[in-house]
Amino acid sequence: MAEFASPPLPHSAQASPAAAAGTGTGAGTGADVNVGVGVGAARGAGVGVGAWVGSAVGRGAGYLLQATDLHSHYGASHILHGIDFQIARAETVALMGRNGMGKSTLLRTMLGLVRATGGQVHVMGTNMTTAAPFQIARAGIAYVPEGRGIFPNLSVKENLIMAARAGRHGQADWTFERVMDCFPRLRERLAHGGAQLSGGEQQMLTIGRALMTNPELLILDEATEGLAPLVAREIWRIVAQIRQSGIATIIVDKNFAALSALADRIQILVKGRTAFSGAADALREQPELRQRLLGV
Amino acid sequence: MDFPTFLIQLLNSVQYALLLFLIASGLTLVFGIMGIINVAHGSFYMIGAYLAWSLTALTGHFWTALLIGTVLSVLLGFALEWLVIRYLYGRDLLYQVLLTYGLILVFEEVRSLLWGDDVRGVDIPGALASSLRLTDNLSYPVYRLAISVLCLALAAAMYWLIQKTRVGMMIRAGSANRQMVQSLGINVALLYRCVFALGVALAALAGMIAAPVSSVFPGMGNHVLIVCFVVVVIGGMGSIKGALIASLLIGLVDTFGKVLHLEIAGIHLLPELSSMSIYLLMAVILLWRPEGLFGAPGR
Repeated sequence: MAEFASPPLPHSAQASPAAAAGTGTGAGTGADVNVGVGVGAARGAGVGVGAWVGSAVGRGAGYLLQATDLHSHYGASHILHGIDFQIARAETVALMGRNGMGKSTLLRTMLGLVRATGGQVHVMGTNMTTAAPFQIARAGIAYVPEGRGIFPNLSVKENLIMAARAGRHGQADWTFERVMDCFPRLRERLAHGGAQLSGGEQQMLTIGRALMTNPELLILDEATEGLAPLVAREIWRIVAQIRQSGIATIIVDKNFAALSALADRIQILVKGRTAFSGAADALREQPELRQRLLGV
Repeated sequence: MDFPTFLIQLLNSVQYALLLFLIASGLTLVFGIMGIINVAHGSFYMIGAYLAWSLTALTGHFWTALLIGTVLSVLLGFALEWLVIRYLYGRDLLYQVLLTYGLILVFEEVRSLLWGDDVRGVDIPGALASSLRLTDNLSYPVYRLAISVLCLALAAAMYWLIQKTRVGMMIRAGSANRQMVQSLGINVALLYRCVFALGVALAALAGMIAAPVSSVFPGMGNHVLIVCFVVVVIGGMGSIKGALIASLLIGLVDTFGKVLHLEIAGIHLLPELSSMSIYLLMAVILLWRPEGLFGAPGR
């Protein structure tokens, strides 16, 4: 499997309890996962230690979200075969892989929507493997599912305000007004039913709705699938803006160019196992590896 | 038919319709939002009526009985959802009908043990026991008007709750995509428990306020259940607005079907066939709109 050197990042030299915890866990995560893990932890440590270091207890304390040796099944078929995944504060991780390799299942298992049949999920150091999906969401994780998941029987405005909530630490930076400023096209459609929107507008609505929960981590499954290139570019611009605001993101998409520009790290799944985990640059320089893992 | 008689029949039909709406709204809400067909819903109406009778006897006060009865029926709703109904989510219709049919039998047995099998009556509360004089020899009981006013107020409150509040938005969103609502950090299980308890309380409340104008008897929920299903089917499964319109239609057709005389080619159609009238109405509406007046097509 692929092994790559961690590219030097400005924060990575800072030693902190969080970075130590992160590296410590990363070391034990199995052959498939490489040093890219440490990068995320270091970056997270550099950005916002203060808020959570006090409450950091137990395994994976340095990570917003961490899956360890995760297995899951759909009926009799074994989908995830022991995946390790972790994301630190303010980090952006791209999750890639061909169709049916387990990306959505990994996300849905970490979100509690699919029950893990083995392994553990920690959210900010708390074991939430068997927690209800709403508890995981309340811990600060917002989800933009594949196929959007807007409520077609609610108006655009209702879709947004029904989700409004202060974040885990009481932060309420993302107000209705701020979401409107971020998505001016939605402002013109507030009274429309959710089903009347175009695909791009639906995706903006779903992202806006996720932001209304003031999350620490935003999970975007198939961020631009089925969208026209111009609309997709708009979504990428918004995602970059969200990243800038300090929210960590996990993005699933097919667009390697767009993802590699945004992501601190790329993790590739093949048949429910991690086939690559590391910096985007490392993957960019190896087109034959990319071809083998992604078919692009 | 002279005008005062017509007015009285109209008021009767509206009062009957609004009472029906109170029961049917819970049925359609639980179906539309939780996807549960609850054939035991009529039992809550009966339980409400018996609660009104026994609690009035106990406290000597109808309004106190109404208050305590409402609280008890909310608790019953919570308990029932937790014990039974939550195992039915997402299951086949057959399981739902079988289990909730079983509940009817349980409720009838418990009713028999607790309150016996006799027909009971509840006195109209003192303050509303008078009548409004319409003409020299026709009058209308104030209590029946009060029923209509109370039902209208509850309908308005329910509209406000479902359409205007954030909880209502969550409930409606849950009917479209339960998982997504959960992933927004909302405890859908608790929300549904509340919705179910609300449905139980509305049906029981209908039984309580109907108790003084109709007698309280075993199996009184079963007839009401069938009419409520007609209401829900005509209005469109899951639509509160549809339930209101359908209740009014049924109230009018049922009441006037019994008092009008209609004879075509020497054959008496009304009132002789009045017991069929609401089913005929349902058949005609379903031929025109198979999904009901306000139902979502393809559901």
